[in-house]
Parts: sequence; structure tokens; C-alpha cells
Amino acid sequence: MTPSTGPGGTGKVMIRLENLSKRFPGQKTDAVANLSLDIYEGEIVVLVGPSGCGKTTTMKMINRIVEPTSGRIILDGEDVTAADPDALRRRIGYVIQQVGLFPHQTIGENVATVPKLLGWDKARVSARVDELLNMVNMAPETFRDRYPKQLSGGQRQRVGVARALGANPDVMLMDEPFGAIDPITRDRLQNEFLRLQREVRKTIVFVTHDIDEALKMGDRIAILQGPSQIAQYDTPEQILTAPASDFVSDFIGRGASLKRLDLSHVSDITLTQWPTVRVGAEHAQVLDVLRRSDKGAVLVLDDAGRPRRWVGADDLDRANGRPLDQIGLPPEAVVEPHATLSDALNELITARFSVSIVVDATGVYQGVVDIDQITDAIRSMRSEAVARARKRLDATPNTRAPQPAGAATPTPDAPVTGS
Amino acid sequence: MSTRTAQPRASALFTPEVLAPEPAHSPRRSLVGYLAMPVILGLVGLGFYLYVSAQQLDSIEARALNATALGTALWQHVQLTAVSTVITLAIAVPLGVVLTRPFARRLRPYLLTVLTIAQAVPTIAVLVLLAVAFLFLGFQAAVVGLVLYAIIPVLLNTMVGLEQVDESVLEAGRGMGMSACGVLRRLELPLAVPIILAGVRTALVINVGTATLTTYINAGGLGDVIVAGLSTNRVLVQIVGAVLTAVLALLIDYLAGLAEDFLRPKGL
Repeated sequence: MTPSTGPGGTGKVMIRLENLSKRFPGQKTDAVANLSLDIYEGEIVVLVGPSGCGKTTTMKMINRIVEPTSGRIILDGEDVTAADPDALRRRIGYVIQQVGLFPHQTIGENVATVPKLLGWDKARVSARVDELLNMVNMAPETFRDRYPKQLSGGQRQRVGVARALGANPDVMLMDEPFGAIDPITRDRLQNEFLRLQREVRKTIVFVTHDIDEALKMGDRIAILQGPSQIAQYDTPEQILTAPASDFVSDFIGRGASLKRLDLSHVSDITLTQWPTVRVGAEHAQVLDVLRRSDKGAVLVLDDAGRPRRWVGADDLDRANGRPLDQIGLPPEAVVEPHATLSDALNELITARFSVSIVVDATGVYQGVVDIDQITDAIRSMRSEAVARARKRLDATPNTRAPQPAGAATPTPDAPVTGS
Repeated sequence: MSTRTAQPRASALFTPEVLAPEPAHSPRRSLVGYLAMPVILGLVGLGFYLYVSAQQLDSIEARALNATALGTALWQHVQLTAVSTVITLAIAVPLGVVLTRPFARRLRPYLLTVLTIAQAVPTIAVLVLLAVAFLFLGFQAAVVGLVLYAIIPVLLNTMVGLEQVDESVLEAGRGMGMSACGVLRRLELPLAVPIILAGVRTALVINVGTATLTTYINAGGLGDVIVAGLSTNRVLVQIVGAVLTAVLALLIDYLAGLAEDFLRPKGL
């Protein structure tokens, strides 16, 4: 059985942690105990869990900022447990919550750190810096020669990401990178980062304590329960629809179904049609359409097919000969196909006719979403998850690719525990 | 009297504003700001020169107050200050670096205690001890005494300067693959420069003031002029020695301030 791959995944194991343990000096218990995890190329794997579950320690053992007490780290097929840590770290991008920009260096010099450490020549470094700043939406000519002090928090974190991408590493480690940023900027940075990731397709280990951020960012999520236990390692969809244990359900918190709606898009479901007329239609024709439907109003579209007005029978009575686009009500609750079902639901709850109008990128009417379709979507997600869980119960363990003992695979049967 | 100009500096070391200077928004002053101090010092010097020139000097005063005698004393004083400050830096900055490395953490409290006690001993006592116990006199003995006293502020400021560097900056540096040495050289030291320089400035001003005492162990300097005035009961000679010391101290403090402004890394 090959592991299911995420959107960017190739199914190749990029980072394998084998029986990794860490006990800090002077501590009686392990911070991380006997943890095994496979991380696939091109995926964002989020380590999430309550404080003290060892998620940050686990991440920091990958670039050996924290040296493991025992166990092995295999990066791209190569055992790096005993490799030169400085050389190892130059291969791995590293972003931390406080960003840690060098205050006495310009933005350009900051971003050039790793390329310079690797001894790139000046022209190549400078071209790379401009490329990276463009990548994170920071115009090089404006920002290259500024100092970190002159930037806002969100801009600093962008520079932090650019700096981590410096020498185009295959792997990036991100420790709560958006944790210290206000919610609005955080949301924007998350979206920008996801867009960037679609281009660069790095293997990313992302640590957060925020399950909503984990669900949004992760191709796969490892929920850590304690120093020795991965409660569940799976895709966000599976974690929401089929939590492996009570701990996982509690950790997701209330509203799992609503959160699940964040992961599905309007384009994933079949739209319903609503009675429509063109803006130039006769009033009699509108009445005819209304009479044949069970709706209270028709949707008036302009000549390009874009929604213009809701028009009901009462509006026609009061029209006094005014054209259709000057009577009735303006259409609200308009969403595009890439919107999440959660957005669509949010819009339709307050909308006049309890539907969200779906338009394409140019604003042309596509159909509508109503509450029944959303409940149907939730129901089918549930049954899919149950079916998948059943299928795995039926599969025999022997058909799997050989794994190190206790390794958490992306589609585990049960919570994986250390021994 | 002249040493008094140095004293507020010495105690200011232990107040927060020297240990952690406020991040000034524009560290560079305006041109007028830079010129004010030398102009004032020049006017004071000129005015004083004119005043002394107008006095009727007796033979004792005339022997003490001539260009050669004063020039020699001033030059000796500058040498004492410069040599002791350079040696202080050469000892205190590397020691501060070593003491902030992880392996030296345990040693630190003991060494700091010893040094702080050492600082409580007045320099004059150290100079007398050197002279009486070891028959160690002259320029070199004076430098030893001055260095022992000035080492503390530079050492403490070096350590505080290195330790106040944001931990996340160092972690980012390590995380990107800088060696421990690279982190020290490219991150810790540059970021500690403003605070280390504040310590250097303190040491300089302490040394200018304290160097007047080295006259007692025959090391020369402006102390010679003051003591000559005292022993011959010539107030004018005492005042000339004191004013020259004060002007020199203010000038050196001003130059050290310039160095602080221009050596501070940009972006801080």
C-alpha cells in the first residue's frame, strides 16, 4: 500500500525520524521519547499539540539545534545524525517565531546570509536576494537597503521566510512562524505562504499550538499527545472526520464539522441552479419564470451574465416601467468557486434567499449553494471517512512497505505509540 | 579636585542607561552638536591662558607655569591614559568574551566577586602598595594601577553587551549554519559594540582622572603641576593643573563620544 500523497507529494520520504529521544540535562523525564515519523517530499507537515508535548524539541532535532539523546535522523536517504551540524543547517531553511533578523544588517544582507556562508559569488548572491524578496512580495528596490527596525512585524516575518529560502533548501523548519503577528496579517501571510509553497514545493515541518492554523497549513498533521506519543498522523480531512482518539477530538475542539467545511471548496460540490432572467427581459416574462419556479424572486443577470438584482413579484408591481436593474435588491452573498464551504455557509446564513451566489473569476453567474448542499457535503465526508477507516481495517499489515518499528505512517491504523 | 570630573562616570557605570543605552533614533548629532564641545573647551582654554598671562608670576610660579613644563606634564598624562586604556581593552574585552561562553558560566560569579572587591580598593592605595611592597615605581607601576582599576567597567560592559544580544538573533544565526565563531564575530560582537564602547568611554575618563594620582609614585602627569602648587602653596599653579586636567578629561570624553556615534553599527 503506497502512502496517499498530499497535493505536492511525490510519496518519497524526505525526512525520517527513527526512535528519536531527547532528555535535557538535569531533567528526570524525556522531552521527546522514542518518536518515529516519516515526512514526505513536498508536503507541509504540521506538528501540533499542547504545551510541553515536545513538538518544538522534535523539530529542532531535525537540524540539530537540539542534539538528540538517541535515535537517528535520515534526511533524503542520508543519515545526518552525526553529520557536521553547520553544513547540515545550511541545507535546511529555518524560520522562528521571533524571526531573529540581524538588526545591524540590511534586509538584503540578512537574506544573503546562507548564500554567503556557502561562498556564492557576489553577482549570484545579489540576483538571488532580489528574486527572494520578489517571491515574498517585498519590492527589492524599496526594501533591500532598509534595516529590520524600519519594518513592520509582518514584513519582518516575510523577510524571515525569504532568508530561510536563501540557498533554495529542500527542507524548511518553521517554528510558529506566524505566532506573534496580529490575526489579520497572520491570515494574509498564511495565504501568501501557501501560494508560495505551491510554487516552491518544499518539504516543510511546521510547528504550531493552534489547531486551526494546523488545519489550514498542513498537508498532513501530526498531533502530539506527550513526549512519547503521536495521537494521530493524517491529513486534515481525516483528522476532522475520523479522529483517532478522544484526545484528538478534544484537541480539535468543538465545531469539527464546521472546521471541516474550511477544507472543502465551493468548486468541490455540484451547484444548484436558480431561476434567472436577462436584464432586458419583459416583466411578463419574469412573472412567467417566477410562476414556474417555487422561488420568491428571480436573479437578474446583465448581458455578460453577471448577477445584478434580485427581483420578486412585488417589485414588478411597484416597478412603474423602470427597467429590471433598477428595481428589487442588489445581490449580496456572492462567492467564487475557490471559496471554502465555510465562507459559502457564512454568506448564505445572512443572505435574503438563504443561498450564496457562485460566480467565476470574471463575475459570471455559475449557480447557487444552499444549506441542503452543505449538509449533504458534510454527510458524504463522514461516510467517506468511515469507508476509508473500514478499508484499512480490512487490509492486512503485511501488504505494506517495510517500515521501521513503530514509525508513524501517514495513514496509520491506530495512534502510534513509542515503546 | 580634578578627579571629581571622573567620578560621576564611574558610578554611572552601574546605572541602566550606560549598561543598556537607549536606542536613539538618530544616533548622529547635528554639525552644531558636534562642534559645540570643542568650541567651548577652546574658549575656556583661551580665556584661562589670557588670565594667567596677565598675572604677575613669582619665580616659583614661573618655573611651574611655562610651556615646556606644562607640555611635558600634559604629554605624560596623555600617555598614561592612552597606554593604560589600550592595555585595559586588550585584557578586558577578550576576558569578557571568554566569560560569556557557556563553558565559563560556572567560573563567572567567583571572578566577578573578586573583581568587584578589587574595585573597592582605591587606586591610590594600590599605587602605594606597589611602591612600598614591591618598590615598583614610575610609569609602568602607574599603568598597572590604572589598568587594575579600569578593567572592571570594560569587562562588565563587554559581558552585559554580549548577553543583551537577542537570543532569537543568535538562534537564527546558528540555525542557518553559522559556526559558533561566526556567530561571535558577525553577530554578538557587532551588536555588543555600543555597550562595550560605553565601557571604554568610562575607562578612559576614569583613567584621565586617576592618572593625576600617579605623581606620587613619580610617574609624572598633570598631577605634578597640582602637587607642586599644593606643596609651594601657590593657588594659581594648583588651579592651572586642575583646569588642564578637567579640560583634558572633557576632551577625551568628547572624543570617546564621537567614537561611540561612528562605530555603532547602523540599523541599531
